[in-house]
Amino acid sequence: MNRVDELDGEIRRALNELGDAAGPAPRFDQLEHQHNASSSSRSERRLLVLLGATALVVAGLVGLAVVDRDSAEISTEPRVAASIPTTPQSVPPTISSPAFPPPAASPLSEIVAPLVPDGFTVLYVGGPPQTAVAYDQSGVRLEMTVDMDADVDPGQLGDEFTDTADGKVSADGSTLLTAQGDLIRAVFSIAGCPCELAVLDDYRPLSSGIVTGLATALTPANRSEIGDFRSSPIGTADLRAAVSTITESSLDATIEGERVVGPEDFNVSVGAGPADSSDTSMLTVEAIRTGTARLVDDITDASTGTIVATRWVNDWQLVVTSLTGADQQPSFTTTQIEALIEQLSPLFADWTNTGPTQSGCATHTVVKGDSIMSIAQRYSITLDELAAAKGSPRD
Amino acid sequence: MGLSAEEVYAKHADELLRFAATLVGPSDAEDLLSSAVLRAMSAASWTSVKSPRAYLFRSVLNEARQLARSSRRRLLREARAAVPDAVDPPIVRPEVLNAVAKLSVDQRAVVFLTYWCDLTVEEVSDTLGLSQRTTERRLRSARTVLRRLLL
Repeated sequence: MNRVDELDGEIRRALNELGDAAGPAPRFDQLEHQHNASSSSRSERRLLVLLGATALVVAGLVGLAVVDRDSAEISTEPRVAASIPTTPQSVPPTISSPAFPPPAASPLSEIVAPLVPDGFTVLYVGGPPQTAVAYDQSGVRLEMTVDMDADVDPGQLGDEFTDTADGKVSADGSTLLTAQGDLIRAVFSIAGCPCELAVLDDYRPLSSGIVTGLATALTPANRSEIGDFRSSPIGTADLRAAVSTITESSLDATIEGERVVGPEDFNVSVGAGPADSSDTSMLTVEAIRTGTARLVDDITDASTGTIVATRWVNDWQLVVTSLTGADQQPSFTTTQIEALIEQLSPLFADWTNTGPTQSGCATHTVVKGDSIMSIAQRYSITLDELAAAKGSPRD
Repeated sequence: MGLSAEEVYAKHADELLRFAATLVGPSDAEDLLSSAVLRAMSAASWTSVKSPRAYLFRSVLNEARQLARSSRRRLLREARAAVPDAVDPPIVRPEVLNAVAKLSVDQRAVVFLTYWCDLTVEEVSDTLGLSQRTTERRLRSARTVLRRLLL
C-alpha cells in the first residue's frame, strides 16, 4: 500500500471513530429539547463556577484591599512575584477621584442605577448589546449585559415567575419575556485581568437581585426603547487604531478585532496560533482608564503559560495578556510582550481625551409618536444639535 | 422542496451528526446539530431552498464557526476550572483527537465531505459555497497536517 492510500485509509478510520463516538442522531421531535437542554447545561456550569467564584469575590475584595480607601493611595507592594523588570513608568500614581463624565443618558441607565451594589459607580452605558459597566474603588468591574437578540431558553426562571399567554410574569406583575427570550448577564471581574470572578446568567435571582432586577425592569413599555438605544461614539478611535497598528507590526500578527468596553476602555485581540490551525492561543491588549484601579506590574503564571504584563501610563492601565492555546505553548515570549508594551506606552502618555468623535452619524425616520425631545434623548444630543443636524431652526 | 422539514432531517440526520462530530468533537455534536437545524429550518428562506442537504451542511458549518469564535477564551478558562464532565468518550483514539484538533473548522469540513461523503472537489465546493481553488488548498493543507500526525 502506498503512502497516499495509507493516509486516506487513516483519515477514513479517524472520521469513522469520531462519528461513531457521537452516537445516534436525535429524533426530529427531540431537537428543540436538545437545544434547550444545552442552554441549561451551560447555565449550570456557570453556576458551579459561581459557587467557587463567590468565595473568590470575597477573597478578591479582601486581597485587593491593598488599596487604602481612606487615604486613597495604592500600595506598591506586588501581590504576585514579578518576572518582567519594572520601569520608572510603572510607578503608581496617587488615586484621585474618577474624572469621567457621567455615562450618556439611556433607558438602560435608569434601570441599572438602583441595581448596582453599594460602592460601585456606573461609568459606561451603551450597546448594542446593551451593556453597563461599573467599577468599585478596588478595581472590581461589574459588566451587565442585556442582549435582546439572544436566543435563550426562558424556562430558567425560578418559581417566583409564572407563565402567561404574554410571557413570563414576575410576582410583582411585570412581564419579563416574550417567547424569544433575552440573555441577561452580570459578570464580575477584576479590571484588566483575564479571569471572571462570577458570571450570572439566565434571570437567576442571585447577587443581590442584579440579574433578576434587570429582567424585571424589562417591561414591554421600555423594551423597544432600550433595544433601539445606541451609545454615543467614544473618542478613542484614533488611539485604538494606533494600538492595532503597532501591535500588528510589533508581533507580526493579524488583528482579529477590537472592542470598546467603557468610556475610555477598549481591547484589541490578536490571534496568535498558526493561521491554518485551530490553536486557541491568543494575545489581547487591554487599555483601561478607571483612574482607581491598579494591578501589579506583571504576572507570569508558569503553570499555565499565561503571561500578563501591565504598565501604568498617564492614568491608563495597559494590560497585555498572552494565553496559551491547544499546544500549551506560549505564542509570544516575555521579551516580545515587553517590547510591545514599550512601544505602546508613548501613545498613552501623549493622549488626551478629545471627546466623542463626529463620525457616528445616524439616520432617524420619524414615526408616529416621536417628538423632538424624544429623538434628542434617544441620540443623547441637545435640541440645538438636533436642529443643526436637521438643517432647520429649532422652532 | 418536496419533502417536509421532518423528512429532510430524517434523511440527512446521520451524516449531519457525523459532520458535526468532525467539526467540534463527539461531545458537542448533538448540541451543534440541534442548534444548526433549528436555525436553518426556522429561517424565512428555508421554504425556498433548492438543495436542503447543502443548506444544512452549511448551517452546521456556520454554527461550528460561531462556536469556535465565541468560545475561544471561555473554553480556555473552563478547561482549567471545569469538572471533567465534557471529555470525549474514550472510544476515539487520542491521536485522532489530536490530529483533528490541529485542523481548522473549515479544513475539517472539507476533509469530511471528501473522505466520508466521497464528494469530488467540485461537489465539495458546491456544498460549502467555496471556489474549487479554496477547496483544493484547504484539502492539501489538511492532508499535510494529517500525514504528519496519523502516519
